[in-house]
Amino acid sequence: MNSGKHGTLVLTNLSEGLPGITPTYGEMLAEAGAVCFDDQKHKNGVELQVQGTFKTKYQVFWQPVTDKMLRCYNDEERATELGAYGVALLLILDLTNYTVIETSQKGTGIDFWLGKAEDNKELPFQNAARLEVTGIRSGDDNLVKSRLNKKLKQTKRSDGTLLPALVVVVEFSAPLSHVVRNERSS
Amino acid sequence: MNEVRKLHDEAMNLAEMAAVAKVKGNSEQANQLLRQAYETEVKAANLLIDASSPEPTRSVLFRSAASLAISCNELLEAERLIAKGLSGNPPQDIAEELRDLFESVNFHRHLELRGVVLEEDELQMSIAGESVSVGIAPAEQLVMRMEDARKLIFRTVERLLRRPYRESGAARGAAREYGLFVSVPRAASFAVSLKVSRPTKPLPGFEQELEFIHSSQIIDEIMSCLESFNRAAEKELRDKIPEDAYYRNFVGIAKNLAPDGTEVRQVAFTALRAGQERKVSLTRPRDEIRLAPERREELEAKKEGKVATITGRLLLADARRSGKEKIQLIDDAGQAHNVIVPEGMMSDIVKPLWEERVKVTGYYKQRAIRLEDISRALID
Repeated sequence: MNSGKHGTLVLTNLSEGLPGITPTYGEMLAEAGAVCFDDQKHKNGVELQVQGTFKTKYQVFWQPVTDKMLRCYNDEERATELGAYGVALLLILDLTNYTVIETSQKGTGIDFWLGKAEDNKELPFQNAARLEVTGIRSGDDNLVKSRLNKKLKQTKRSDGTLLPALVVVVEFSAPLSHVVRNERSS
Repeated sequence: MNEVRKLHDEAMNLAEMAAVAKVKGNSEQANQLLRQAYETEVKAANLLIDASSPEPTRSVLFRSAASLAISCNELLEAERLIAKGLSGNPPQDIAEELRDLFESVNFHRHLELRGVVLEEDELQMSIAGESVSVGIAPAEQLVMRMEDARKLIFRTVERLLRRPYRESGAARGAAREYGLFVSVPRAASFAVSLKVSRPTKPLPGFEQELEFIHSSQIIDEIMSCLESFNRAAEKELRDKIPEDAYYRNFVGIAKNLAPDGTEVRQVAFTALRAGQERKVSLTRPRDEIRLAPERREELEAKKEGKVATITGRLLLADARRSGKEKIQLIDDAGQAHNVIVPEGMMSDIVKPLWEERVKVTGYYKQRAIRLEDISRALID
């Protein structure tokens, strides 16, 4: 799909909260994302290429990075993961017709699920799609492809149960993002 | 709103608040919030205890509750929640994740049975150089350094526990209770995380029976000594490690960890302590590391030109006299050279080089050479 869009992603919008994400948590994702972009010496408004199922680009904006933020997010791996969550959630809400995000806990962190406003409101995760996100602070194409394949393999286990899945890889140095819908299950 | 959704949303809000508190460094608050999240999520999951309840909601809630139980160290309860999750009709991937969680519970219980705790503080060792690419490194360069890092950690544990230097045999007493775990390698250029496990805290009233140090103390001490070593601040390092044997041992191991200058150009240690990072990068090649002479007689020997540098095979060892162990080197011309090994070097520095072609530097003392440094000789 080529949407031909050239929109904007404003990380600070996350701190207003999203359906299923509290403003406090959203603020943390926005701060982590800002630290990741700033660390790669990008200027506000940097162009983020989106590849995969959706081919488009966005201008990304974030808040000024403070010393306190740098201290809080100095664990590079953790900050990259959180920053990637933030970018991925904004992308999904803009690129797809999913409007609700559900979360649950899993051994390795947060498990995101995507839903639509008209879906079952009684029970969580009904008719929902899983969202798999992975972040890379600085890596080449091979690393991006390798992460994407790993995540796609994980979501393929969903095929038998017809759980749709979306995989998002966010790479902060280029910066670029691969958004892939698990075709067989969508 | 449905009660299940209400409770689950409340649990996730609490878990999100816990994650934020942790990032901000409020560990105590994070733990409290995590426990509240766990208790609330269990309530939500138990509302769907009937195995015919709708999936994937049922299994996702039990998996979520089990994850939170593990975070709160409620291992038995986590096991029960996983079993409940699997007893319904979970989708294949959720069932797989429930089994993964069960393995995680088993690992934590294995530690618990051994009476040890794996602390969150970790020491990351990364290597970079011509032969190292993103996520891949020559096994020899990595394995050797991991073994040296292990020695460095356990010698530091024994030193902090005020044990006399142990030239041979296994560690004794509380020092034996510490362990080392390695986590999945990371691509940066190639990094592994080392986590120290420690004995569980002694019960009140039994503190005297078990000397106890936190892994954070061990990591701080190693980083502090490596910083002094890296700056060649010999006096500073001596103040930190006053006992000769431990000092020689530390310097010998730290030199082995240093880059060779070709295949590996940098070896970095990063300590993560409660989210705070501290880093030491060893960039000077091993052969260029110079620390001030250890003894006056060594200084005088150097002035008089009695310095020895011999290359040959390490073939004989005599460890009968503690503190004055000897080795013999056969050089390329077949001539034997006796080398006295000072305390602190035999077990960790010399022994791994047995039967190898090595380069020895030291100074002549009567007819023998007193060892100062020994390393694998480069192949011509």
